[in-house]
Amino acid sequence: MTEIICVTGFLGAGKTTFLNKILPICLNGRKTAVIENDFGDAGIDAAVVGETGAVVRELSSGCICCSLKGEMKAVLLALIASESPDVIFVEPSGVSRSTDLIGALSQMKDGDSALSVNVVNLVDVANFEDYLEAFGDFYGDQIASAQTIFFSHRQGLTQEKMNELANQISEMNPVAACYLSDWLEMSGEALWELIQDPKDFVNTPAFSGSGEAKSGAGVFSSWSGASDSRFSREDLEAILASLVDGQMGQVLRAKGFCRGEGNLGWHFNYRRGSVEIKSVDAVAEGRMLAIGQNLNTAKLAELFRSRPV
Amino acid sequence: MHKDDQMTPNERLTAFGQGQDVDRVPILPFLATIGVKASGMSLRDMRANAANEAKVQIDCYRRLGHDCMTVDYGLHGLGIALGSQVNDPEYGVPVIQEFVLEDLKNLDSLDMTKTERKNDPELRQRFQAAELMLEAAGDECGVDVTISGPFTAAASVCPASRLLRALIRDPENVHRLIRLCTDAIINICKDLHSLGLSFTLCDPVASGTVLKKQNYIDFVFPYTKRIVDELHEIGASVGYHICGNTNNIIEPMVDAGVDLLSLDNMVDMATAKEKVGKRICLVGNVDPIGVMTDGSPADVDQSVKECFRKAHDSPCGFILATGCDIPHEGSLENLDQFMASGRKYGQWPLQAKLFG
Repeated sequence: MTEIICVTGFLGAGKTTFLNKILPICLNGRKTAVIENDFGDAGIDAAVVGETGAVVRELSSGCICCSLKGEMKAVLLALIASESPDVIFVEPSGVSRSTDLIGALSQMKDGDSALSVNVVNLVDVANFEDYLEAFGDFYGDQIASAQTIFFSHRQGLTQEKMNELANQISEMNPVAACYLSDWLEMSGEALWELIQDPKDFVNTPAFSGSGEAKSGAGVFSSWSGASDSRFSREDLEAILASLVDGQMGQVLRAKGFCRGEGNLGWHFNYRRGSVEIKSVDAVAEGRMLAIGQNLNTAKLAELFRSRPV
Repeated sequence: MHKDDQMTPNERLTAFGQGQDVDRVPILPFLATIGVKASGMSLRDMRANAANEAKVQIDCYRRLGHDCMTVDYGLHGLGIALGSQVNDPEYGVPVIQEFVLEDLKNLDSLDMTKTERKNDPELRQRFQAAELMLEAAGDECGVDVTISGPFTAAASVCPASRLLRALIRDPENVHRLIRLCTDAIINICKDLHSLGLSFTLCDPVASGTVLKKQNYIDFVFPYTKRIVDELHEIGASVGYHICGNTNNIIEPMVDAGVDLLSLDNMVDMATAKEKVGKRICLVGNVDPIGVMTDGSPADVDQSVKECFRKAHDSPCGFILATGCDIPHEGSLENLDQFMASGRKYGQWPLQAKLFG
C-alpha cells in the first residue's frame, strides 16, 4: 500500500531542506515519488532527484484554494497507477490548509484500501507568533493537523522561550509528537524513524531539568555510529538490555546492523524496552542509530565500540 | 433561448434585479474550466485564440441556457501582462512558474503600461472573445468578466507566501503594490465596459483561510471598495467572490458596495442569509468538487435543493451557483442536472414545498 507523507509549513520553514535530507534515506529500497505544489518557490534539489531516481510531479492548477482538491486527486491516482510508489511525499503550497488536503486524500483509494496519510509540519519558531497573529486559519490548521511537528529557525531562542512556544503549539495540537531539537543536525535516518511512528514518541515524560514542556513536546536527539567490532547474540542482548536503565539517556528507539561471529551478522531493533534481533548475511560494517532524550552519546559509542559516522 | 425557459437571461436578470416576476431563479454555474467539455476542446486549445474562447462559452450557453457567459481575465491576468510566466497545460489551469517580482523592493521596476489593451495581447484576445460572444447571443444573454481582486492580482505579481510575509515585514510596499494593481484593474474594467460587460471580482488569496480579518480590512477592503465605486460610476454591475471560508469577513465584503455576493461552499447559506441577506443578493453555493465533480446527478439534485431550502427567502434575493470553479474532471451530466434541478426548484413563484 502506498504511504503518503505530507510535508507542510509556511515559506521558509524548511520543507524543501527536509525533503532533500530525508529523500535519500527513504529511497533505501523503496520506490518514492514527490508531488510539489508551491506556487513558484524553489523545488527540491535536482541533484537529490538525480541521485535518488525519485519521481517528481508538479501540480499545475492555478487556484490557491481548489488546486489541492481537484488536481491533486488526478495526479496522485495517475502516479499510483503508473509508478506504484511505496511512498509519496506531498509538499503542498505553504498557504494551504492541511485539513483540505487530508480530506481530499482520505477519499482516495489505492485499490480497495484507503491511503495511509502521515502529516509532518515544520514550524518556523522564530516567526511563529507573528505569523499566527497575521495569517488566516491555514497557519494554525497546518499545526493542528500534523502527526509530527519539527521546530525550524530555533537558533537564538532561549530554552525558556522554546518551552513557552512548545506549550503553545502543544495546546494547538495535543496529539502530535513535537520535536524541539534542531532537526537540521539530526541524521536523515533519525528523521525517517521519527516520522514513521510518531505515536511512539508522544507522551514520553518531559526531559529532565524542565517541567515546562508538556506531554507531546520533547527535546529529541539522535546518535549514529559505525563499528567493525564483532558481537555475539548474547553481547547484543546485553547491550540492548542496558538501554533501558537510563545510563545512556532515555533511548526510545535503536536500530541497526552489526557484525557477528564468522559469516554471521545481526539486525537489531529496539523499541522502548522491547528487543528484536535477527541473524542476517555477513555485514561488512556495523551501523547503528539511536533516538531519544538526553542521549549520552559517549556511552553509546563505548557500548557499541563504535566511531562517529 | 433554452427550450425549458420562458425568458431570456437578459430579460430574466433585468426583471430579477428590479424585483419583478421571472420564470425561474437565475442560475450561474462557474464554467471557466469545465466549459470546454461542451465544445470537446482542450483547455489549451480554448486559450489559443478568441474564437475558441467564445465558442466554448456559446456552446455552454446553447446547451445549458444559464444566465451569463464569461470572459475570464483570470486570477493571473495582471501578473502575466506585467511579465510573470505561466505554463500551458492541455487540461489544466495555468500556474505561474516565474513571478515578475520576487522581491517587493523592486516594485519600481514594474511597467504598469503593459496592462493596457494596446500593450497586452491577452487582454486584446479577451476583448475580441467578448465581442464574438455578444455578437452570437444578440439580445439574449450578457457577458460577465471574471477578474482578480486586488490582493489576488498582487499575488500574481509576487508569490502569495512572500506577500503574506511582507504584511508583517514590509507593509508599506504591500500597500504600494496593491495600489498599483487596483489602478490597473480599474483601467482594464473600464476598457472592457465599453462593450457593456458586467464584472465579478474574484479574490481567493484574500480568503479568511489565508488572511486574518484585520489584514482583510487593512489591505483588501479599501482597494476593493475603490474598484467598486469607480465601476459603479460608469454604470457597471460588480459581483464579488472570495473562495474558502469568508464567515469572518462577510460583512466588510458587503460594505465594499458590491451588487452580488458569491459564496464558496465552505460558507453556510443560512448563516450568510442571517448575517447579510438583508443587504445583498446571495449567490451560491453547490460544492464544485465533492458534489459537481465527485458526486452523482442525485447528489447534485440534493445539493441544489438544499441551497434553495436555505437561501430561497433571502430578503435581497438568491441566485443559484456553484461555490467555485468546477474542475475539468467534472462531468457535463452533473452540469445538466445542476441546470435541471435549478429549473425544478427555482420555478417562479418559488414554492417551499418543492424543496422544504
